[in-house]
Amino acid sequence: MDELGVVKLAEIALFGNVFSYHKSMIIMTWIVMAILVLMAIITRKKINLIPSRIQSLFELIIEFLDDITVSTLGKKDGRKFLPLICAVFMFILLSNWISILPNIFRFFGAVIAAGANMFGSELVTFTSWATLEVDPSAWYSFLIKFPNIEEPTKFLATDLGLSIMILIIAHTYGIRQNGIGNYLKGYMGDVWPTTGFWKFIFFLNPFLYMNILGEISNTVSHAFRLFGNIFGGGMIVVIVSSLIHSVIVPVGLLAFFGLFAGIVQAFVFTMLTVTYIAQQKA
Amino acid sequence: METITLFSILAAGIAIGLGAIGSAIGEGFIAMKAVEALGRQPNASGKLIRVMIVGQAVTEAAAIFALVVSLILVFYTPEAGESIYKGYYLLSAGLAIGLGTIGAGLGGGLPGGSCMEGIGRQPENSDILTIQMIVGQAVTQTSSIFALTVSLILLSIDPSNDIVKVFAVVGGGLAMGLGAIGPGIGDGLVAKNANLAVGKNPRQMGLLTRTMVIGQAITETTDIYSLVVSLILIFVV
Repeated sequence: MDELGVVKLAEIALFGNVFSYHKSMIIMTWIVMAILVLMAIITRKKINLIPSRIQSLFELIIEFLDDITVSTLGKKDGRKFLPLICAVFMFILLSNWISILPNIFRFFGAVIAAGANMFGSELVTFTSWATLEVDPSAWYSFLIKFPNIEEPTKFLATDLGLSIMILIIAHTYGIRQNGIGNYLKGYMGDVWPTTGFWKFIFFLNPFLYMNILGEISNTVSHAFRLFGNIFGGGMIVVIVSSLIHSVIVPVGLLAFFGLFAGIVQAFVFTMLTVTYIAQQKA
Repeated sequence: METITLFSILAAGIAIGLGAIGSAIGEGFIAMKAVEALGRQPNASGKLIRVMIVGQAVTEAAAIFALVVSLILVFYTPEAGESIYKGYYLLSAGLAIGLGTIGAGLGGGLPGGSCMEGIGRQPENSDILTIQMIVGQAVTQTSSIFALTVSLILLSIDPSNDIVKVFAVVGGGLAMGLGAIGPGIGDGLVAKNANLAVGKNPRQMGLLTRTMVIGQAITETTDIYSLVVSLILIFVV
């Protein structure tokens, strides 16, 4: 419980600036990406008319998302954006789901350490499972130090990164679709005239600032919606588990906040991505 | 230090007490419409119950935000030598999230209810209606997300020792909390009728979703006023 709210940051110095990052976030993001790439390679290898189990799983996801993107963006643009939408969905889904895995590395490390302690190893101080300390020179110390298995989406950095990426993609699409002039005119609102003298005092238009703020708030709420749900769910699981000493109830909590809320939030993020891109089309 | 703990306990009660109101009514509304639809179409009970649970889970997000802030406040341990004015910051955070989730919870229930109505009329449209419902509810939640943002900011910043600044912060929390009630309900009304329209005319879903999101974005401008005023009160005054 004392670990709650403690932020573990690692720092790197680059070009004279110091950047700090969550170590476990970076590691978990790479693990999620590795799993996705591996699954893609395995599925691609034996693609068949009669789908295998893993192939039909991917076909299910892609068909479902294809329906949505094609019906919202039209056939041409929908198919163009489909890889992005699928990637976003699968990345967030796997990120949300990964925390239900138990941390087997640390478990085996702890078992080995306890065994070593029993045989009189000097490297381990062991009074209870909670206060296990291993000297860094022991070969199994890397297992103990393995970071917590946490959702990458639990950290605001991942969510904001994703939502800013969507913002840039959606607006680039809007500029390419409508031309830069029409795109900028969209920010002026319908009430303010955009011809003649009025063009030069566009900065007096209150709608301009409201529209820009609206776009920023879209991106912020896009990121915070995912962050708040995943962070909140994870926190409730941790607190309730520690209050009842992790008896049975955490399984149900993980099923709801991990599996169910995870897929709903991944879907919400994807749907809003499609909607934000479709908004730029008009 | 003890004063800060007193304030954090009070704020925790305010946060979850007020924050539970909206979501509870919203979820009840969904269940009410589901029961009504079940009476009309007993054969579609599987679909109805599945979609009802999804809708209720999304509606509950507002209450979960309040619960999270409330739990942070319950377990808040003040640092040694922390200014006692931090207590007001915590109180303000509790007020912001507690009041701010009322509207979003209520509003989230409305599209869920009309989705149930649509499925009750035409069970074969349930997939389209579910997608439409989730998008509507997600956008409706924006007001509670702003409240969450403000209250997380309030929980994490260092307190000032200036009494004017402290009251400005409490005002900022109230501005965000009260300002988020209306837009939440308003967004819910937009999503509710969009969902009804999709139930009647499923082919126009793309157009309806786009129009709904634009309408909700404009409804939310008042929410953005509150957010801007609240951030000005917290950081500038």
